[in-house]
Amino acid sequence: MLELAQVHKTYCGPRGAQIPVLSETALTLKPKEFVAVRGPSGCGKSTLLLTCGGLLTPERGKVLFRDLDVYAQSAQQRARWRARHIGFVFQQFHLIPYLSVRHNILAATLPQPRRETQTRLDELLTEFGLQDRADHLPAALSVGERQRVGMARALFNEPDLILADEPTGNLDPENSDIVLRTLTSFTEAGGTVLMVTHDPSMERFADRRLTMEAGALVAV
Amino acid sequence: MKGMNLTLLVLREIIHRRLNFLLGLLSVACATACLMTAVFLLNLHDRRTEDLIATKQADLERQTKAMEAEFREITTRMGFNILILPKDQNLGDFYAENYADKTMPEVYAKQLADEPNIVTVRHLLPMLQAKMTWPEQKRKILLIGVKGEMPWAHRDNKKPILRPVEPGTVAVGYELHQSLDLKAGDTLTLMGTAFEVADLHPDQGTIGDITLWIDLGQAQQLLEKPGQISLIQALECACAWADLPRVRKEIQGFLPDTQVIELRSKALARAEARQEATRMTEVLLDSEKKAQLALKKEREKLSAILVPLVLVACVLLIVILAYLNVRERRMEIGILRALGLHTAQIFQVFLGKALLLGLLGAGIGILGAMVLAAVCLRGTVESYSLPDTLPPALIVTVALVTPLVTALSSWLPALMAAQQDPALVLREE
Repeated sequence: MLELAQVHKTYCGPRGAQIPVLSETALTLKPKEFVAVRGPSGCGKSTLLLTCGGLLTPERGKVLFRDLDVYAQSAQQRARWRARHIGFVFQQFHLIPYLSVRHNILAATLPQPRRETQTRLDELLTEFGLQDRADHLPAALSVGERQRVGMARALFNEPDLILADEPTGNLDPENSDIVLRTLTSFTEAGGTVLMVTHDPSMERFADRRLTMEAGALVAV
Repeated sequence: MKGMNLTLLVLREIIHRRLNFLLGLLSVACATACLMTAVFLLNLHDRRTEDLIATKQADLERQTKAMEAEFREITTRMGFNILILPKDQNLGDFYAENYADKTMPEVYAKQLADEPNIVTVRHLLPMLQAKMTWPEQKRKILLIGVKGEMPWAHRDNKKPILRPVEPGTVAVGYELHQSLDLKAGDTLTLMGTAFEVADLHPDQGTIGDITLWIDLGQAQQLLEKPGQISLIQALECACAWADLPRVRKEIQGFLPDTQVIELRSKALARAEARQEATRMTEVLLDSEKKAQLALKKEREKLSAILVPLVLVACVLLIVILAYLNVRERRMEIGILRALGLHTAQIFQVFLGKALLLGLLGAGIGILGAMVLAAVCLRGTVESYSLPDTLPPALIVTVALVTPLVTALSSWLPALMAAQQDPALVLREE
């Protein structure tokens, strides 16, 4: 489904020093696969996810999605591709503070409107136990509820790939379980998950475990 | 249920960050109201000026008519001046030269003065004139011999309007005393006779400037015309029934060898009086218009400083607020980009807010200015309508231009938002 071919990305450090973050990184994600990438903070896990999601252009290498060279597309085409095929889940949830739970989930339709939004919204509100919270603002929610809203938003457009950046980093074990089970269900339904984490205990749901070492991915 | 759209997103954000929006709204409304009020005040001033000028014009026209009537009455009472010339004097030559070359006996003047039945003439001035070359100075002059007014034998004499010239003295016209550098007390020689300069006449711009006035007797002697005069000026001929044919008839009854002409037309005097009255009216009106124009210019100058200042302050505030809004929403922009919004859509979100700000601000500003104008108009004596002072075309223009100005002011911050790299903020997590 998604393939990273010799992707190289560096950041500018102090006094112009080039710091390699992704170093000829290669990764292939298959449908229905749950891949967990572990590594210490600052090792380039988020960079890997943003590169996979078409948000960070690598200096070298290719990101192929079903043989489509993602970075060969224009920014606008890439945005449309992201809206259609990718779902992001963040550790800090990144909900829009002035939108209710309902509208935060529906924000997934902002790039391109879709039919039957109400049915899909009801489905997700029920699935994540948010029916009673539909009109609440994020500030009124617990952290677990916020992450569930984030998950619902990522799943709303029924993407092919979910890129999850420490999705359980701020959650208690119970909510962590809910998130991980949801991601597992997603893969069982045909989707693919690439999750980065620094917590080894979270890898138990993954089909494949990788670690990031000096910008390269190594199988555990 | 429909999904989310950008308009809903903009509206929700405005409600959420209402203070930011209200500040912007207040700024736009103030700038719009300020502009509209400045235009209103200038228009009101124009209307008032027009009305004031019209009223003053009407007043002055009334006053002019009254003045004309007064002048007519005065000139009628003033009577008129006549000239008694020798009968053989060619009037064509006299009118062309303004000079009588024929003579008649000086005794005619005395006969008139002694005649008890002459009632119309107040002053009698006999004169002898000669256009000649001043032998000593080799220049053309008009020599006039005068003896003052003839005293009336049978009635009270009026205060004289022409002083006699004492024998041995001379009064000198302006051009002559200037060019010869003559001063009072100097002595000049005319045809071999010495005269003391007794009077220096001011500039008249007429033939009087090259005239020498001497005593009539001496003039008759120098010109070898003893007992002769060229003309008699009969001045201020006035009585209730007097007009030129009657006066002429009366005088010619006593002096059959003379002819009588009017020295200066009564009609001309009246016309001049009317012209003077009209000129005064025009001067007054012109002065009023100038004063009003100066006042308008002052107000325009003040508006020209105040309005742009308010507009610039408003634009700056909008730019700052928009920039702060973009900074505050960096993460939100990152999320929206992660959700699949492209740069143009992010740009629309910020520009849409600016347009809404402009529309609402213009609406409030226009409404405020209209209320203010209505209150002002209610307090005025004149009955001006609101469209007179705040034209609908101006309202439409302001309503259309204001959102454009706010959109332009927010353009750069919106562009910054659209071009923001989402990876930068999302990695900050």
